[in-house]
Amino acid sequence: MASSSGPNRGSPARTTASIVLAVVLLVCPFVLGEGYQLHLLIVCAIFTMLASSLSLVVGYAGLLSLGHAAFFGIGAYVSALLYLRFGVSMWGGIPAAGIVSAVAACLVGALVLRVRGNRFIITTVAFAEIMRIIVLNSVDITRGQMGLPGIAAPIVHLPGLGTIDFGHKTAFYYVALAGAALCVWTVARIVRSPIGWGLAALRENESLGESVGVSAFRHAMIAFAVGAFFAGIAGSLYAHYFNFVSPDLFLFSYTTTMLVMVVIGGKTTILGPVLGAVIFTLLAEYLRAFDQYRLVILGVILLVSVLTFPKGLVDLGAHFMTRRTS
Amino acid sequence: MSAMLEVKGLSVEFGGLAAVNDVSFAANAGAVTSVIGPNGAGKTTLFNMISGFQRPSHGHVRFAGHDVTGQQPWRIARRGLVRTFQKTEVFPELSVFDCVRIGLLNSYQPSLLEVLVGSTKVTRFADGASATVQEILDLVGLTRRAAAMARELSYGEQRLLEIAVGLAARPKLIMLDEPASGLNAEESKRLASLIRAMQAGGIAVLLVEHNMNLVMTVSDLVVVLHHGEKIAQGAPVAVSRDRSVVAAYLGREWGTDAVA
Amino acid sequence: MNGVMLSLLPQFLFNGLLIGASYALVAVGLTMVFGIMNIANFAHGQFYMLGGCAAFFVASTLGLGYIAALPLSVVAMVVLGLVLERGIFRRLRHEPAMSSVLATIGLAMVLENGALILWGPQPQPIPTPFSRLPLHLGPIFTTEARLFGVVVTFVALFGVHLFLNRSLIGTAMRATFQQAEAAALVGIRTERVNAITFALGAGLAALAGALLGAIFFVDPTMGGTATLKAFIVVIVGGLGSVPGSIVGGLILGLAESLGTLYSSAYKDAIGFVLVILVLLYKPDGLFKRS
Repeated sequence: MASSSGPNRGSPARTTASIVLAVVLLVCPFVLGEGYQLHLLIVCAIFTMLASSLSLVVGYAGLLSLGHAAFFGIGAYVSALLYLRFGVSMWGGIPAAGIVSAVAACLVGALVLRVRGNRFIITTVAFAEIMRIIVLNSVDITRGQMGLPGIAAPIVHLPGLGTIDFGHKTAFYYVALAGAALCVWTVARIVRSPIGWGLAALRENESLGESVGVSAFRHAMIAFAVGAFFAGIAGSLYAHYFNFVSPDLFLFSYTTTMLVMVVIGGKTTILGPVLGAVIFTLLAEYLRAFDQYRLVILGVILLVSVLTFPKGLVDLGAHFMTRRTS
Repeated sequence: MSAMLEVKGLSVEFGGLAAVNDVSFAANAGAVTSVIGPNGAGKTTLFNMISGFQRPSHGHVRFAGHDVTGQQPWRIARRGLVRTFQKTEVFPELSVFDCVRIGLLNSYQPSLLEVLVGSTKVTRFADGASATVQEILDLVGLTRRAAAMARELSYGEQRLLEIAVGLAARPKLIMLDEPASGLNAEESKRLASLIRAMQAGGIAVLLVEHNMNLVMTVSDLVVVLHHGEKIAQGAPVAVSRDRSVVAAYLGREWGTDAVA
Repeated sequence: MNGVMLSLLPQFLFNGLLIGASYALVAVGLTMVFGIMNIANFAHGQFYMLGGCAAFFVASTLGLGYIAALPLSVVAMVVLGLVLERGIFRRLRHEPAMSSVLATIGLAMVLENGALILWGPQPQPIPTPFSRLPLHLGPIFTTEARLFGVVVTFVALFGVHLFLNRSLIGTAMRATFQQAEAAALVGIRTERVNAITFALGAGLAALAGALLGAIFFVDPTMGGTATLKAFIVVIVGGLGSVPGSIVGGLILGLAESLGTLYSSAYKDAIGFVLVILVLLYKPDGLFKRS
């Protein structure tokens, strides 16, 4: 790909496509109704947040953080506990989850972002496991493996307009959609800015970047903290939608699922993680009948795609398109 | 001419062996200073210590009036000291244009907040980047290759790209580690005029080189290292006649009869 | 520590040695693959799991007994290791680091969930001819199975040491480790060395799985934890260092066992905390590449 500040940014085709997509997304609930498909879209939205936020760290910064589930879990539990113990509604829970996760990322990052390679990877895995063990064993606060149920979504009274119950899928859908949109927008914003140039330097050649004033640590920290922020918010949304959290949210399998979405979609693209999230959420649902085989298939897909198209589907598609037009 | 870079008593040892031992010299503003010496003389280690990639065990480095000893490389770069590497380094999966653009970050890096709110400062900086990058590409002669991916470039082109990235960082002093290695005569000549152009532009140059032609042509001052120690320094012609220098390269005292 | 705990100390030390030596056995294979092939194999723990499951299969399902199951399961994993090396890892050697991590994560998913399909999630102990009655060895209460496990793991570790330092192939491996290109120039068939290294690592992990599977149990999800612990040991001991893995494994085993004295819930966290501490103070691990 040539200069990333190329002229095709604002092409009319792109803008039309975006508008159509936006309209479709906004109108969905009224077409689909309060059913299973809307549920799937909500789950897609939550995973889009997870995949997109992970792509900032793994794709753009080039840091293979395998502990992303930790921030997802932290956000979920923060939101859950704020609600169950202090009566803080989702509106307070969401930003709190994001902020606490981001702070946790800063603390862990201060330690972990100074090393690279396998030491970095293992430490991130270790962090997620430590969190899981702590949450599992702090039974007084978290009820351990039994989890915390009853995390309700808010009911909002609008004077003169009636009540909106965010426990209904239609209403919650818009919250989830907003969250996903905000996440993708933020990631795109960062990546296309001079901070994004710095992330590319970190990813492509850390020493060369350092030699021209690009602090690898600062950029790694930005990616890590912003990634954690949105993972935390995703956790909060999960908690209020499924009305339940458990230490299983910290499991490595969540991280691998997010990783597969990012890698298959294309880890250095904006669209890739979104595509990956949608594909795999739908795939998971349709393979539900073959539940045991689902993870085997996922593993095979990951293995094969890394060996055959390491840049992901979006790049594959772009490649295919440019071949046809040239 | 004042000293832009002052190196005093710089030393480092690896596993008990002194790779660089008590080296001191000064590189002046606007001058081209070359560091030469046989292979293994410690030249790249010296570079690494000056630019922050290696912590010295003794000694100081002063750049533009500030003590930068042992600081992190990016900090030293922000002060205006930029270096290239012995093994050519580029950003492989980025276009030539994007590579050079990264150098601009040495002058300005927005905060996360500024980026998120879309401050005009950031937009103006990003928009102005194109023109600056074009200028530098023209200067090094890579204009035609702006859209090519860095890893697709030839060896000589990658060397030029690396220098371009360094120039984009607006250095006060640029350190070039063996820039002529692997270049043919034609390319070396172009490199020499590039170095002169940098000098004319007010950039001090510190060079590590084996290509004596290049060294003699462009240098104002030559520093000679051997086994990690400075054995001579001075104007190019004087150094080329220095006995100890010749002996270091040839392995014996010039003029004595070393009959087996 | 009160008097009761003190009297239990030798017990816990013995258990720590057993677990630690097993960790070492698994980690040695991982560190060799690191050193010689420069690949981070996130599926390594699956050899441990599959070794245990294969031993269970032979001993219980086929009814051939434990003594036959041990070598058979090791051989099976050696073969699997050779197949995987040929099919997948050979191609990974020339890919960037992130690719091999991602690919091996995918492989691990396939192996773990494949095993879940074949054997189900229920943990099972491997039937052994050993009596389950406690043995009394001085201050230590143990079982025949545990004693057998300790003896075999230490013999295996010693065997690895001898193999690497005394045999021709072992020397070839060490040469490839130090300088792969030079070794190739001297005539060492690096491809063969890689295959042997990988297969050996798989076999050692399988042995550990079969031994611990008889003492505790096997279950198809235990591969992930094994991988994680192996990585921790390798990082603590130093990437590529076989003595480092042995020492690191023993340290982790002993630390976990002694940690159980205080709180059995958090014992798994000990390893993770340990690795973080090592990263802070000795980022290259306890031993350098040797």
